Amino acid sequence: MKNHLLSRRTFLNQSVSGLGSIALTSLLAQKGLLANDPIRPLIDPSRPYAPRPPHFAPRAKNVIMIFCSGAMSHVDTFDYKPELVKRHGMPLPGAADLITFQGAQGNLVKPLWEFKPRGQSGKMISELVPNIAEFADDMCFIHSMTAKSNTHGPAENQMTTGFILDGFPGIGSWVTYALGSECDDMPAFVAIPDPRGVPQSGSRHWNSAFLPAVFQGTAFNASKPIPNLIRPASVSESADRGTRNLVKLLNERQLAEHPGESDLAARIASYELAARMQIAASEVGNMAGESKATLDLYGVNDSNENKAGFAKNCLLARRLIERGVRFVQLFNGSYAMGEGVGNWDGHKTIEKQYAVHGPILDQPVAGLLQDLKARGLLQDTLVAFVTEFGRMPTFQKGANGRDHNPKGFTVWLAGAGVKKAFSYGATDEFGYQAAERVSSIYDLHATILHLLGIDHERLSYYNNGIERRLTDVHGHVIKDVLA
Amino acid sequence: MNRLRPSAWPYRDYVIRSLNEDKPYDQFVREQIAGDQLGADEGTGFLVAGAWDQVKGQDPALRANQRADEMHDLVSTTGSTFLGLTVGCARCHDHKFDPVSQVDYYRMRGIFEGVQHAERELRPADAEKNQKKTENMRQEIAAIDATLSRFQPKAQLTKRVLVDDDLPPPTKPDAIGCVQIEQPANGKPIDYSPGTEAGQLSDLGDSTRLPNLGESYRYWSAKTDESGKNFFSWNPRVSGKRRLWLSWGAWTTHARYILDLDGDANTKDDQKEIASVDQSKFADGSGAIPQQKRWSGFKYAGTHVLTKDSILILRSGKLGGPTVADAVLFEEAADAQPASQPHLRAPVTHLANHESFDAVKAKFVRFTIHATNGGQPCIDELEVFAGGKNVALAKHGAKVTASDVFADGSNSIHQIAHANDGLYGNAKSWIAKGAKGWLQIELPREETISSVVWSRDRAEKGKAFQDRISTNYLVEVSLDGKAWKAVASSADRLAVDYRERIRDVPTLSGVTGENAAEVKKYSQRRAVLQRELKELTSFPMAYLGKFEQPGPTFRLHRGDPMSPKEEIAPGGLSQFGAKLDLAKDTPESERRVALAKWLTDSKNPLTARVMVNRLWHYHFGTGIVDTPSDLGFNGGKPSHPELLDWLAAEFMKRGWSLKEMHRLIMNSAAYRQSSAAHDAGMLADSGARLLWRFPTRRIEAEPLRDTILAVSGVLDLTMGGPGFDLFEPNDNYVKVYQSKQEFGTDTFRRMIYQSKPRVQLDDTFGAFDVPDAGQIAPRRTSSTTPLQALNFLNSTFAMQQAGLLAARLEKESGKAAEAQVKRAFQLAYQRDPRADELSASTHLISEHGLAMFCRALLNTSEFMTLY
Repeated sequence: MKNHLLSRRTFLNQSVSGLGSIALTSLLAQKGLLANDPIRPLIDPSRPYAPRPPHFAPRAKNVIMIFCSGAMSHVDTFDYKPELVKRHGMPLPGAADLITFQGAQGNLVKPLWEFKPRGQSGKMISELVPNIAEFADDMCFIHSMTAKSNTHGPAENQMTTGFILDGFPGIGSWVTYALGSECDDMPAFVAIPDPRGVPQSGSRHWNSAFLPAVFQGTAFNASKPIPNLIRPASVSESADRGTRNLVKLLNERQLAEHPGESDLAARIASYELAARMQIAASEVGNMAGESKATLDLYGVNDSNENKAGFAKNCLLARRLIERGVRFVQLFNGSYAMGEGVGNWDGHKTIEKQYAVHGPILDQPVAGLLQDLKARGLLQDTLVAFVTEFGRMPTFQKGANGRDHNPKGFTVWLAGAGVKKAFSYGATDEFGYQAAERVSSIYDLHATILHLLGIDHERLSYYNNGIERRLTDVHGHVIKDVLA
Repeated sequence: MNRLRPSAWPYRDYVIRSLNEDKPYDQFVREQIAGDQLGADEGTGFLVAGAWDQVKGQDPALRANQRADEMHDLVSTTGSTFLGLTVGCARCHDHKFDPVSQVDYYRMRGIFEGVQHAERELRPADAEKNQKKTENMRQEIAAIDATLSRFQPKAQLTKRVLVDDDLPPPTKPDAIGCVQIEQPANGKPIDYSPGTEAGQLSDLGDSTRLPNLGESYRYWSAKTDESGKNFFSWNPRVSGKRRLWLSWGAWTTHARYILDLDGDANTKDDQKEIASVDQSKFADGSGAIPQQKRWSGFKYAGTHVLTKDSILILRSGKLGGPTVADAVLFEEAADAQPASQPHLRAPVTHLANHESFDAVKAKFVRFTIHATNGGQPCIDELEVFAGGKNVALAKHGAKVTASDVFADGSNSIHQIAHANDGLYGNAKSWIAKGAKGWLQIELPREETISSVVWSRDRAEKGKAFQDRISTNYLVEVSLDGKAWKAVASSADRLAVDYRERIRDVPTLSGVTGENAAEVKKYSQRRAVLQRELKELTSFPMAYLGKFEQPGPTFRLHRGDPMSPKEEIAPGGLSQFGAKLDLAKDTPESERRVALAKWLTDSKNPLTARVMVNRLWHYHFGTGIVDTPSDLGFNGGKPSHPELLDWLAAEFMKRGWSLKEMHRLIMNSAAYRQSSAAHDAGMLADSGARLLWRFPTRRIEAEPLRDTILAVSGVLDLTMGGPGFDLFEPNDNYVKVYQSKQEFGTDTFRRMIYQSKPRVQLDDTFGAFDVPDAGQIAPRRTSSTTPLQALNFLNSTFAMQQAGLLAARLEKESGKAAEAQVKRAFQLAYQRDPRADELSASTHLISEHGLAMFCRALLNTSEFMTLY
């Protein structure tokens, strides 16, 4: 008992932390039980977004995760399979009785867009994304990714939170819980929904679940600002100042009466931070200062409204990273309008649907890569391009589209700490199943955390009886992709 | 995907009611596991309160995984909630810290294996009381049915073909159907006016008129000058002498009916106008009712000789204008003149089907089946009545034979002898071996019989089978077993498709004048009884789960549903409390009842301890064990172990009364002490874990919102019923949640009554550590964020509430700022302002108005903190 309290006091002395610390202290009393003791981030409640040291020297400081909602087809974009072209119109061997998400299979169908060699490396990438393809020499592909679920919601959950079930924190929340942020007048974790709407799993991507609410992602984009950021029109600037002054006076009085209450100090700090955030977050969304060349690079003024909207979001991502925001999750595709209309799903008429979605994605993402590179931001920023799962190399029986396929698909990384012009793992000759160096979403998460200087096995949070991790009880850093 | 559950609120009401009534906690626990068996139906809402994936794909592995996740939610939540044990950890392997084996996990899963996510009828509290009443009503209806069966229309062996306007075009030359002649096809179906009066949608008919046979009629909006236009044809595919009966939706203008003998509308010389009808009237010539769409009933249009190609064409009247069509009946003409109405009998059902005929002497009765509505024919009982007595019973000496029997008689529930054993239900039935078959009864002696009654599944309990019903059959009698005479058949019955809508065709034929009054009296009484019975027995649906007898439970290797290992019998945890071992085939409800008892058995050391710790947790902000759903080895160590044990013992001693425990805790010195700090205490225990002072904490989001509403004076304390919504309505395929920006008085109820969509957080309160309800949250975090500040300064809700508080202050304290501030401090802080607070406040009011002061007040620590 005595030891227990001593541990607790030591901990509090180090951390001044109110956040969940009480649940943790008794665990510290059991020190030695776990092979790898969790490393607790020391969080000052008054400065929750302050930078915190990683577990070891990081290769990347911040992350942009581009998330393609609806499940992008790997065989039509980044995973080139000559055998699939050759066997076009023939059955997928061994798939006679195969039932995937929506049912039985038709025949193999070659990529709907032609693949061409790109860059010095000659990496084959399809004409659906010709602008992104220009960066082949900067990209690091993982072709052997696998997912646990083949339905959209659970699979989106897994790619972001590691779990297919609802109610687990996303990678953005985990990272900002561990590391804080390099700028403390902005939310540390920003989720940028597509201009067409939110992805199927919606706020599950940016809810902090059982992590403290301060690590929720703040969802806003170029057209929809942070809710409640702006002073209401009916309140004059001086009235607002008057309100805040009285709040400050009353709150400081409370703190004086209850010295040492970290919550009371934190509240005073939170109102000061809020005032700074009002300025900083309004400024970040204002793109007036960007040159025409930059705007055109992204396609911000494109006549295609959805493309222009997504381009603005890509530019917003750069501006956030530039200011030191730790984690940006940038969504392409929404579920607001159902299959094929607003996202990368494509069961029935995939060619028609992708012809719409390809151009919305391509130039803005390429522009972002180009801009990050030109400004030297790619040195410290990791870009991770992910989706829910892949799609079948076959068409569905009686349809002109590809069914869900969690058995093998492609994600790619670029920027800080990863190899350039590198491809890791492979699917089989048709692109159906991961066959070489099969990797999991846990591995991907472990690798991203590793690049940020975090040991995925030691970043945990005690909830309902379990030390919860982003990677559950799995995951290995994919060392081969590290530069 | 996980949609809103608009009928889940009865469980919330149940929980609130149970706590207010101080229901003994052990009973409360039992009811949430097996309330359906313990007189508390709503309790089982607990079982299905968790998340589940409603998008079921075709992939069998996906479906198995989804089911495994549903089961996991039940097992782990039950373990966490009541036992404070992370039983869920043993899904893939034995628990790493606590004595819960993987087998234990699957024993618990076996308990819940029959639980499905679904709505269920919610029986009201007085359902039991009404049971006697409804039983009496059922008996009276049965007696009336028996009486009325004497007046059942007698079977006629001549054939009826009813061609309804909604039949599709014939796909083969000899198929029945309807054809849209006018192109493009403009005829559109229109529903009859709702109601049960003559011709309305649900008109059941009576002894003088048929029930409404068509749910809808078809309407053409031709212009008034378009006369002689062919709209539509009925293709009955019958030949020979037929009586034609026409019907329509009685409200339009005029129509003509043309019989086209060769079925080719272009050849004119074989066409004959058989009727010219004023469609603004009923078939009996009475005027239609304005603003009402009612079925006309049948009008006789003469007897005509048809060929198998003949069709009946609908043509617009002489003046053109809208025209309508509904069912036409082609009745095989017997010698007799037609009655005022055509003869039709009710569709066959799985229940008793009466075949009445003129009294005839018989020693043998044969029932021959030519077709069913699916599967080999099944008869659970075949009855032959002589003067009100069933003479076909084996126990009275009758003998039954059959063409053959299902599975050659190897299936004990389907036996030839079951056809006349006097027992109803599928479990005591005969099924033929093939698609056709016959049953024959040899009576012990020659009898004068006047009806035969047969059924498919007349079981009183459980779900009745409705397949294998004989739809094409013949009833014959014989004196010697050689010469047979047909007495009834399916030829005059409405097709089986009408079964859902038309249960009965009230007596139209076979009733003489003196009986008609009696029939009418009984029919009316029956209708009244049925309506009352329906009211007493149809209950609202609520999201309380559905229960089915489950298949076997298997231990899953590493939790993988595609790797089942040995079968596991349901049971309790083997290392805790009393032994609970159930047989593999234990009925579903018994499993849950057994677990409910096991959980609250006095030998179970966990349930009481877990609950008193939760009470402590909610009163002090931290439990004696600070991990309220994990009192296992990996959970927190108790700060005051003896106290925890003592409280658990007291709890049971005090009859599991929660209110007694609240009183005990809240009257304690520990609870009543001040939150004021002193140096020695802060130095030794700054978090007040040992309770040297009352630990302060920010109040949670829900009571915070309630408090704002209470202070502004608009809190609506209405209890119970459906919740209110904090999101804009939206009917997208996957709902898009947009927080409301305007808040009406309907949203001023306590936040416990918010319809909380899973994993969607409201723009204003979502930043205050509200659990997203994706996973259970035994203990929530409490953080302080700049977004909280922005939300409380700038949201429309905060601005509205500041305005409402200002209005309240003006109303209660007048115009003087000083009085307003004092009142506000009393409301928000329960104290008077100090001098500097008062002057700063009145200064703000004088500069920027009362509402700005109120806005400030709601943003202060003192308002949000429990000291």
